[in-house]
Amino acid sequence: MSKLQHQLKIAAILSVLISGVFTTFQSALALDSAGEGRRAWLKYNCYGCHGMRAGGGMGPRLAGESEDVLEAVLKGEDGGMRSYKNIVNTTEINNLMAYLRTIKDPNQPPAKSEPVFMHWWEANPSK
Amino acid sequence: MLENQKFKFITRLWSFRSAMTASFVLVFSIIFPGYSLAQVESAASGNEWTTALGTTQGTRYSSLAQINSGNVGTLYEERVIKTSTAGGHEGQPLVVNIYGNMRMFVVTPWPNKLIALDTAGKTLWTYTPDTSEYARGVACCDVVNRGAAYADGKVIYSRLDGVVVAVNASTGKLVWQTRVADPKTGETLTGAPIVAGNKVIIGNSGGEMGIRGWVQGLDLTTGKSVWKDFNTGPDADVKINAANNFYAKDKGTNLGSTTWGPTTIWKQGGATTWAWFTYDPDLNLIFHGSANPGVWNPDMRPGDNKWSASIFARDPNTGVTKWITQLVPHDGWDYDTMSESIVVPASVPSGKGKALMHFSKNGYAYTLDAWTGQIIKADPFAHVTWANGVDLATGEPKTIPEKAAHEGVVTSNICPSPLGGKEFSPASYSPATGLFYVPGINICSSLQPLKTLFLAGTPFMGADIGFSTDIVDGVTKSFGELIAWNPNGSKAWSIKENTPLFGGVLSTAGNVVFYGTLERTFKAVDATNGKVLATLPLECGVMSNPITYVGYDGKQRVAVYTGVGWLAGGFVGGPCPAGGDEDHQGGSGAVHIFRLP
Repeated sequence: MSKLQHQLKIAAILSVLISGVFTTFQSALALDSAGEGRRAWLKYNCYGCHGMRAGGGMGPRLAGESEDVLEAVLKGEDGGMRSYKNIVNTTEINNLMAYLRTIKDPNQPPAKSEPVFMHWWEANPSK
Repeated sequence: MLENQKFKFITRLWSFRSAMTASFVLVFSIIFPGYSLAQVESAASGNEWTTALGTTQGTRYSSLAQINSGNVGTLYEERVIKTSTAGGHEGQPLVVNIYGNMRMFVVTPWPNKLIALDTAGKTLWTYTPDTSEYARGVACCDVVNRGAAYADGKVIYSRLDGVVVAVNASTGKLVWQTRVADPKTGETLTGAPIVAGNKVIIGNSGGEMGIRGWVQGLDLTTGKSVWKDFNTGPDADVKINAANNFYAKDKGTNLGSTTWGPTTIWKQGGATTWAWFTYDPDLNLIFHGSANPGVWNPDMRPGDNKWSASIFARDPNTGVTKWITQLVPHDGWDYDTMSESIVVPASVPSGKGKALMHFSKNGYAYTLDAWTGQIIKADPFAHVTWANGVDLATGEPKTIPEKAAHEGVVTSNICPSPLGGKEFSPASYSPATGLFYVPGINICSSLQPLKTLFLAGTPFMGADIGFSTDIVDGVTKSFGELIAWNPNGSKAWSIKENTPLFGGVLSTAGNVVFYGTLERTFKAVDATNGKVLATLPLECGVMSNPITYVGYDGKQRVAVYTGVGWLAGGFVGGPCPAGGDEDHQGGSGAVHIFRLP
């Protein structure tokens, strides 16, 4: 009985671990490039400076931007942005650019192609 | 020669008047229900304006009365002086008698130039520091500066990039500079210093960037840091014996680190002191508040989050904290407690005769015993939906659970909004009328806290914010409102404004109250009844604080900045004046000087 309980406990732990790995794996692939870009936008606090839909704020407007973002993310900006070189990878930067390209006008309602979810920490954001 | 003699006469007159008005006081006292009248003195500025809030007690009240409610209708704009600097012009000029010569000192927004003017508007010199451009990008809410303080022949102010400077008021030469903050971490300096004895008191800004709030005392002569207190963390860091605090909720050991849940998030806990200090020489205490706790997502920091959203009393010489009273435990609505605490004469339970009046972002007007931190009164001066009052026995707000913000959940109709029932713009207290004049804001919000990673030097926000109109009983309130507040806890009168009031208020012995609006007007109103006596057009809006002084000709002047940056500009179609760079900054701000014909 005790052995069975022990086996069940191990099975439960493995289940949780596998589930966690799967969730992580699924998270990386859960959304398309623009969606994962939106996730990165929120996860890395980009919205804090550039606005929830990249319309600008304490940092410049980035909606529709692309190549300049790559350099800024990697090198930082003299005007007050740190380098994210050791924080984000190439895929995430490409995703960010894909996301920014979907934003036509932050002052207008978003197009269907523009991801607008907020719950970036969920594999498939519910909101 | 004749002109020279005339000038000498006038400067002597000026010197005499300065000496006279420096000791000018009014006998007045506030009576609170249940407490007896005490006759004590109330502070007023005179010919000069030597500290950000006019007096160290923060009254923004002047004893000058040449301009009064009977003649202010003829006020006209004498002079406009461009600052050649973009961005929101908060703060106010200083006017100081320097060896018989009247000088006006203007601190600009970034890059924080210091401009010295004579009272004819001529630029005498400009001190141009090498202020880091990096600081611009980490300043959450525009690259503002809230002004300087004058003492011992020096003009002292903070640079956005974390350096405090003292400049010789006569020559414009740097006397000392002290780096106290590093913008690479997200820290900036936007607040106005105050001089208390031989100490310069300053605090840091950047609570939205995952930094930790502090206050420091620098030596006035050398600029060296004499003491540094944090606003969060263990008692040794805060320099507090919390057993001395008035309320049981604020007593205990190391509450500044143990009320943040199991993590060390208090090290990124914000609670900065980014606006104002007041100082009472009689009590030998400085008073200041602390900002909202970081991160905005309250579920990431379970507990009271002391000592965020609190009022502090500290010894200016040693930094030892006499008391702290936390106004909003576990703040989830961005209710900074950074508004000025005006020191006013009053009969208070301690018998020390001084009260603090604090119009908080959270919408309550607090009266505290300045000696103990006891809350004597707390009444809503704005529409409040997050609490049903303040329990004076415990010092706790009666929070409404439905308005508590939680991760991933949208909570709506939170009033006041993160702009506060009153923002950074300072109120005024007139001992002549016994009223406080409060630049009010009527806006509500919805908040959705978000899970957030701490990445040093980036915003540590964790919230989506939406703003909404403030509706009471089916009636939409005006965005702005100048409120004349009676210390008994009621409005004496108010003036509706179409835009939120981001500028401060000045009251005078001439029974006049002055303030500016984002709608490009400067107003003078009757201090007793709120009747608008003058409305003067400006080229740009106001988010600064008017001052008054006496000019070289012995005539009273009133001065105010114009210049609206990107944040406040959102209410009026963008920054102004237009013509700035593409990074949402407007063109040059200006000093406007008014006088009678």
